[in-house]
Amino acid sequence: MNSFFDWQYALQILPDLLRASLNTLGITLIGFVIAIVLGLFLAIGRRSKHYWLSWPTTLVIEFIRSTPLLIQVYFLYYVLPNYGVSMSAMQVGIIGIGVHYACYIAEVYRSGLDAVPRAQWEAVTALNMTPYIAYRNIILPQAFRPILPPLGNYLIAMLKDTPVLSAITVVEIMQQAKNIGSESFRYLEPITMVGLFFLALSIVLAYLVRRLELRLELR
Amino acid sequence: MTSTVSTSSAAFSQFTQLAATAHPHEANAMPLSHSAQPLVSFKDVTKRYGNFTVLDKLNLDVAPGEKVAIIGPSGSGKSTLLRVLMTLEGIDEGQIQVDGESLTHMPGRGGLLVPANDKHIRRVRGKIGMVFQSFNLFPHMTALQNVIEAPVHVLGMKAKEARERAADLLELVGLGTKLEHYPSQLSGGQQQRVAIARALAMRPKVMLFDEVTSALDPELCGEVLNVIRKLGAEHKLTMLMVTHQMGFAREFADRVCFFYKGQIHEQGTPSQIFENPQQERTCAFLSAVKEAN
Repeated sequence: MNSFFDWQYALQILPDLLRASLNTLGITLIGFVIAIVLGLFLAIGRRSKHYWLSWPTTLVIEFIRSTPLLIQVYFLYYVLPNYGVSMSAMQVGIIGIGVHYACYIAEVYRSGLDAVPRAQWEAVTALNMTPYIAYRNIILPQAFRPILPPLGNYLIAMLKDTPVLSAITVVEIMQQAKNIGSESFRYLEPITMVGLFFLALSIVLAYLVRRLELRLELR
Repeated sequence: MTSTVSTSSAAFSQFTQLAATAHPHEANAMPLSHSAQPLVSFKDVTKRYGNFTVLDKLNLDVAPGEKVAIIGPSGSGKSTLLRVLMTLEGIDEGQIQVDGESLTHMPGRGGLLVPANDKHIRRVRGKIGMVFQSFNLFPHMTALQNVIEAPVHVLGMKAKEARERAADLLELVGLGTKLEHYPSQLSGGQQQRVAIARALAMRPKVMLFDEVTSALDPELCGEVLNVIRKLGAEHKLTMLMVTHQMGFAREFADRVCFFYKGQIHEQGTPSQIFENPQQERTCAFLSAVKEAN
């Protein structure tokens, strides 16, 4: 107990922290899938030539990007139930963080789509392709490669934002560490371990993204 | 005093213009009599960019199988003519017809013409193919994939059949050995020939060539022009080409149109335009081009 870092205590709380870390990982991965899929639709909607689509999309993106994630999830978890929409903390957490990051990622997609030369769109038109085929086979494959690094950044940023969800009682790794700390009044070990967990996971994710980049660069 | 002079000179130019345009119609009498309907028809087409009028009430009929070369100073609307025909840009007034169907309009309620919707445009646009100055190949696909892509996903062709046809077309343009090359591994002339094969794979009735040799080094122009010559000889394709290659226009085209300020200022057979131009502007343009070479 007197040592600076109590290894025995650390080992003892490890299983609880690991269990909670699965939540963190799950929230990040599911949230990221929501973010990259929804982000794509938002980006394409924002680029639409139809004002009835591009204006509302722009409004939504800018609104969500301009307000803190913490306020958004608070609203979803504590205010919406008053209007008959109630979800579990976990559901709110995943949807909240996914939608929040979708709006950032929509802007990343937009930069990627804007970087595809207009001439490619002209070729696509001259070959009479539908917008769906054009986006899927011609435009997105070209837009995707240059935006991989920023997408990787957002994946890691999102991972590190998951502790925000402890504010709405989601038991992710940070919330668990706080619970442990408040029981034993020792915060050093759990908080240090949480920090190391994020560090390790970020490095692994960055490495995986880098490998994906290299694979796509081959051509 | 001055006003009388200007009116009389205007009348004179109008007369010479009529005289100049009378001949090409005679020249076209032959192909037109086979099928009375022009394949492409511009009717009073106007296109503006802000205050600038690029196409000014333009009229042009192209007969099936006809090869029309379009020449003129930059900014005269030559490329815009091809771009509005390919529907890369809309028009402000008038109508464009392709193969007897309006490209820009469709019958609406009560038989009135209304602006065409995407579905209608897509159907009519399928009859048109285009080759661009900067090739515009898909950089993430091989030559073969570039040619296969649209037939499979737009025409619904079977992959195997599309592959065989694409290989034939690439053979036709002299690239039978480059099927698996990516655009970045090909020279400009080779890329442009892939682009021609890609457009042909959609079986267009009209092919548009927009300054297709302008981005090429001089020694690579020949291989692209040879492919176009071959197409002209072997296929009954209708072609519209914007070109700065006067020699090629002269030898290849059935008709040459000189564009000036968004209108066809003078048109005729190549020999009429190049040997005996009637309009001052045409003469000035041709001598400027000659000097530049």
